[in-house]
Amino acid sequence: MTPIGICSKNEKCLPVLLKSIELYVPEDVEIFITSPNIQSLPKHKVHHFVHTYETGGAAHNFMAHKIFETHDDFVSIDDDVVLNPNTYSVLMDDVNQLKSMGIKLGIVAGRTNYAKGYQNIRKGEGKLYSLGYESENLIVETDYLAGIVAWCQKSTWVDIAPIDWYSDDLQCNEFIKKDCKLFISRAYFHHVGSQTFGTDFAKCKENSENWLRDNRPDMHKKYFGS
Amino acid sequence: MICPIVIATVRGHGLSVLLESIKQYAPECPVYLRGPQSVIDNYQADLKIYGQPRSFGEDYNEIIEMALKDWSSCIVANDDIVLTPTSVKVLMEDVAIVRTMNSYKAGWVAARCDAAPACQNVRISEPGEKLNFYKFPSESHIKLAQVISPIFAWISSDAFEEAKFPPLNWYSDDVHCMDLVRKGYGHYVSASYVHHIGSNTIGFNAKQLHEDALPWLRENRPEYTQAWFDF
Repeated sequence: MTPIGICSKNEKCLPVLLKSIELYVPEDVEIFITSPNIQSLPKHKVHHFVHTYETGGAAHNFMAHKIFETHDDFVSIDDDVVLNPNTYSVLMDDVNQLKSMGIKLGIVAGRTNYAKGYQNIRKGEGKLYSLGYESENLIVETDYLAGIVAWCQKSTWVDIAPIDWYSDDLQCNEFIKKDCKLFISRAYFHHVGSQTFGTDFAKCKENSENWLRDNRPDMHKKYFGS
Repeated sequence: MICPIVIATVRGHGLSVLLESIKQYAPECPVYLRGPQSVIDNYQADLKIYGQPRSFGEDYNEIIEMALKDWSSCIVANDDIVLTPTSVKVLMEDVAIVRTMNSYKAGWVAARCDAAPACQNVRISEPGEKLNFYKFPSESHIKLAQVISPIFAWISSDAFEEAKFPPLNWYSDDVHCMDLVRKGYGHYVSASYVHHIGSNTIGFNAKQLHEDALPWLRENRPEYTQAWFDF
């Protein structure tokens, strides 16, 4: 079974995520966690690593490489997520469907209530039912994904930049350069959002600006216009 | 203001995630829980009522009445929701605002969510509205609504004394809201947000759920039947 990887800096929402994993994820799925305090689950095998990283990107890279020592792929889950009963199974069904078509995959990520772009359920299309838009039942190719709940694999993995904001954008850009496709899955999950970096979005942007200017002037120009 | 959270469950699917979210984000709220003993025995709650499921309306009437013996208001929660860190705080802030308004007596004050009728569903924006980062700006406003779904919603003992839920699954909330509107109450959609799985208990068979409710509606609220279904 494809394992799950979680990075948590403050563990504020982690207990609720872990409860949803306990309830909705098959017991033979291994869980990798980097966080300040040791975590456990009653039925799942948990591999815990103490979190000592300044940025989410660095923590995710550490976790990804740890998982790739023993697995070929994993599902990355942000610590302020709550899974629905079928999030994991639908995501993996979609991944397997895409793999069976011979598509070179970068990442496949779920839909949610709190995200940028077409992963956000507010950007749905077609008829609206109380439980969602018609388009939420479709797997959609895209050029940007936030890896809030995202399947990724060792063979196409791209390290995440050591910044918080824009790290998703940079990673997606690198996937596309390598001819890897990005897909939005039918899988849905709840996302509290902004629990690690806060809601001062101007500050979040500013915190990444220097790194982008020094290391990725092309992307700095794209996001900051100079 | 501390307010109890009341929950009625049939099978307990998702209940442990809801209770964990209450423990993490609103530990000050007492929990009143109704459900079959075999389902809820292993869950922690401040007060439990053991009982077999009847209908959404009857089950919630029982547990709400129990809570309102001890408190002047309560928050009704479906068993397949999950609180966010601010769900209770924002809801109660909005309740305080609504109670200062004198245009209507405060009926239901209900949270927004991701699986709900249009007035509470975050997918629905105001005309011409555009996303501001991840949300629509109107999601931070309180708005008046004729009918809400009490997926996560506050109600006072004064309002609940005026009307109880009918013994229905579907339309129990519609009937309750309209009964209160006729008695001068207004219902509000709050800026509070909860996650909602949806249709976990009474299922997806809309036609059957509709037909199950029709005999009671025709007999007890023919005026609503005529207004809603045009017969």
